[in-house]
Amino acid sequence: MKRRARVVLGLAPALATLALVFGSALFGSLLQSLGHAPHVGIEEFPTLRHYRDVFTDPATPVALARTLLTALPATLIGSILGVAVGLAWPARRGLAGALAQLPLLVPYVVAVALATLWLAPSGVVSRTLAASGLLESPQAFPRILDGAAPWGVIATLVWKQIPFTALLVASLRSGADRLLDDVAVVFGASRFQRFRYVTWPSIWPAVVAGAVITLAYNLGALEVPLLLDGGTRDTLAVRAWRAYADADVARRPEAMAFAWSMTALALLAAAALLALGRRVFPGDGR
Amino acid sequence: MNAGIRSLAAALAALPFAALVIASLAFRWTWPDLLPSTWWWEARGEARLPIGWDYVASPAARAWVGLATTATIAGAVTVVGLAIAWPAARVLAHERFRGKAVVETLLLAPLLVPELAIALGLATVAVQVGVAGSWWGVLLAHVVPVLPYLVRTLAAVEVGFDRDLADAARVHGASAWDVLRYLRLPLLAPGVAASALFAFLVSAHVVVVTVLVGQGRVETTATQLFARLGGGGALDPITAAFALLMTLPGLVALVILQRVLRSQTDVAAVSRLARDPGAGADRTRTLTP
Repeated sequence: MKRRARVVLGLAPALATLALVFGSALFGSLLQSLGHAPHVGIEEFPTLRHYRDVFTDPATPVALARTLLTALPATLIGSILGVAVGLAWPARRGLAGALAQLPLLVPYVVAVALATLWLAPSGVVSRTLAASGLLESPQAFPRILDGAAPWGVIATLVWKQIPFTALLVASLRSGADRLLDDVAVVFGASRFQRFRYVTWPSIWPAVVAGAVITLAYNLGALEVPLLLDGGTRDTLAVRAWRAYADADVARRPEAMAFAWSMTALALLAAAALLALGRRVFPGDGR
Repeated sequence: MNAGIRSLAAALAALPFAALVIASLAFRWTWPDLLPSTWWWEARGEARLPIGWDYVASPAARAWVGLATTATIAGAVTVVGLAIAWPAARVLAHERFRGKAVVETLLLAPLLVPELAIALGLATVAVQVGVAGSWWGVLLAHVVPVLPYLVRTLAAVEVGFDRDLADAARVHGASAWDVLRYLRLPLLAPGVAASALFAFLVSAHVVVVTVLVGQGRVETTATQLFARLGGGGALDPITAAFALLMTLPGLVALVILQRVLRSQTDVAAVSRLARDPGAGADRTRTLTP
């Protein structure tokens, strides 16, 4: 009984805060998306009108495509590079280890500033190309930041997320048995075999966990696409933001419907990736 | 090959900031110059209005207001977060009970729901409760994104605490206060400090929630930078300076973390010593700084 009281008392403050603040926020926005927004003079609860508007708007498939076209490559590239860096992560934290963590320690808005500085038509990359005689004018520089493909957004997300995945991988790797590696070498395992049968089973839970969290983030990311993409090809998150920021407060429920559709997408994608990870590598890991 | 990847990762992570420093010091930096043709200090005499870092340091830029607000809110969020998350982390680390997986998932849920969705909901709730546009509202709102990080990191810290040590101390007549004062606090301090630092950073970095709940009236460095970005095109020196200011908390955290982690390994070594037969409570006492 005493143990039970300890459990309940220990968990109560965190769960109560979460329910009060996080829970009420989600519940409040859900009600609004269903037409209950008395603070802006809208009371038509319950209606699915706003979801219908979102799903029948011809711009929505475009925004969905843009969202997927940004989030999926960013997560894939970030995970692959994160694993590569994580496996090379220094056991002793020297200067290289400290510097490599930097992207993790600054917010996405700083990453946006850096991306603008480096990848804009008149940015540092463009100047370097010009200095080596490869570029005639800034206009000839490819539109990385606001072009047809979201390369600038992807690069910014990847830059921020490499150390995240790398640190997850490195921490699992440091707990793994190094002897297994030596044994594999003694028995003549190739480089690929060592990775597939020794390294991978010890790190894949970290890879899946990292990919799930970054995919959920990338699907709902606002700052990077909003600030870099120039407003021509909005993602779902950017559309929700614009609907909310609109001077017409009657668009608030629409913003909430967008946000909830996007949240459902992020949670479904995360769950699917988690299930896929368990199914593809069921015997691996611990 | 590993050394190559390491250097490449470090360069890719750090090099972009060098250009940011240069951009913040530039007055005229036109394409295709690799370095500014006029630096800020060369032009400050001719300019009628404050430029570059002169402007950032002037009251008009409100950079000091932003930094002070950021530090105050992030500090308060960290204290509140620790008070809420530590007991939960302790339970999750040491107890088994029915529904544990559900509780763990719930406490991590804010990580998986997009920040914008949380922010839109919080903004509405804040209006209804009457804390929109106030520090209180932002403080409460920041607890949501901070909580999952705190619970996760503190649970990891608590798992590392060997409860046999506490039992041994009690057998030798230590009171609950002694155990806390001479065992738990010294052994857990580095880890707790590291997660507190992380919580501080998460709060300092929150943009969308702060903008929407603060209604633009609560200015942190992050929201100031957010407001200056997005004009498109090149990055002006003052925005570059604000981006550097926003890098400051992370840099300080990095330096502290490197030191804390080093001392943490020392603590681990001493705690192994303390578990050796013959190394009793007096040896543990030397742990206190």
